[in-house]
Amino acid sequence: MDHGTLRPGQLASGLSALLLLTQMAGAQEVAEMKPIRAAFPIQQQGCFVRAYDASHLAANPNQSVRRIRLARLAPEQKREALDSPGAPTIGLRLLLRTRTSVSTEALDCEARYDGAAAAQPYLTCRSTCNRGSIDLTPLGPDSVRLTIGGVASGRFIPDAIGVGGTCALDTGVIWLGDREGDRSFLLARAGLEMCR
Amino acid sequence: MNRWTPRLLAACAGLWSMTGALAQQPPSRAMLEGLFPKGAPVCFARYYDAAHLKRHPAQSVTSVRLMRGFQQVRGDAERNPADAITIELIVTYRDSGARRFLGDAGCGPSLDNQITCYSSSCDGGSFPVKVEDADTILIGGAQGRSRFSVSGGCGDDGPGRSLGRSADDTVFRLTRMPISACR
Repeated sequence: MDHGTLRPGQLASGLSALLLLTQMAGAQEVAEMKPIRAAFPIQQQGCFVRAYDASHLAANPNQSVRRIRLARLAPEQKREALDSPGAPTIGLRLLLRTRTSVSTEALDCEARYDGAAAAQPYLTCRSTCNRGSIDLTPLGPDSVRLTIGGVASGRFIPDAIGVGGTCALDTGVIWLGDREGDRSFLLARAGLEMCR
Repeated sequence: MNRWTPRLLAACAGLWSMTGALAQQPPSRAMLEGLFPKGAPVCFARYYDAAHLKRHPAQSVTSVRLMRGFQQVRGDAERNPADAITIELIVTYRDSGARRFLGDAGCGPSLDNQITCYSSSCDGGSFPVKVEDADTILIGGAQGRSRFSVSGGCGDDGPGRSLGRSADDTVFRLTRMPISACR
């Protein structure tokens, strides 16, 4: 038998196997994206909001955030539609009102699947000014959990994201995540007007 | 980071894993793990003051931050421990104020028994890391500028920026700092 030559039958079998593997990988990716796409459907605008009242803030002195919103409107969709590998899977804008300030930051999000390490797929959203990142875990079509920092190698590792100002200036940037009360937020879907 | 970055990081990590196996744990692997302990955030940084920049008019880099934060620690925890250790390099330049240019990299032992950090962006270059002492590292090429893309690499629409951008952007001495100093 000539071991150095591939016969047409073998080549066809190999290609079929490769095609099957590619299809299986694609199907797995589609399944893993499902919870993310339920919360952030393709080509659809969206808005998620959480606001805290005075009694909550009084009970949580370690929290600086009064209102936090995630907008996916026309500018974010425009970034998603860029014909470039640099285009985000999902573009968002974080709108933040703390006890003392108001600021916003554009975010580029990519899906992550950690297999056994994470109970469900999530998004890692990086500041477009390269000032850190947050994680977003969809909890259904109308709810997302926003977290900053988390557990890795068995211990909690804090993180922070810079919000506000312009990319060329560090002044006016709020670093969210330093205070314990500013590391996890549950946001609910709201009408688009709430994010405008 | 774009949608290809995790896959490129995984590919880099796999290559490092193979390199590590071939080299059978060279001393630089221990050096690497000493520099970036498992599960620990790390920050090495250098902010050049006005006096330094005045003395070095051909230096365009105004700050360098080599950071291993939560995202990198978590990512590495999910991979083979023998893989590359991922970091991000944040660079600012004289002509762009505080604007941060960022490059993701995988660092591992190289064949010359040193540490080298390779860009996770396609053809994004690399830079060597030399450990001076427990709290000081030298990054960049002593024999010339390091081509390590922090903007404008393949698939990136930003302006072209490299760690070794101008004639005096050669070696950078970074010191260990609290993680918040790498923001």
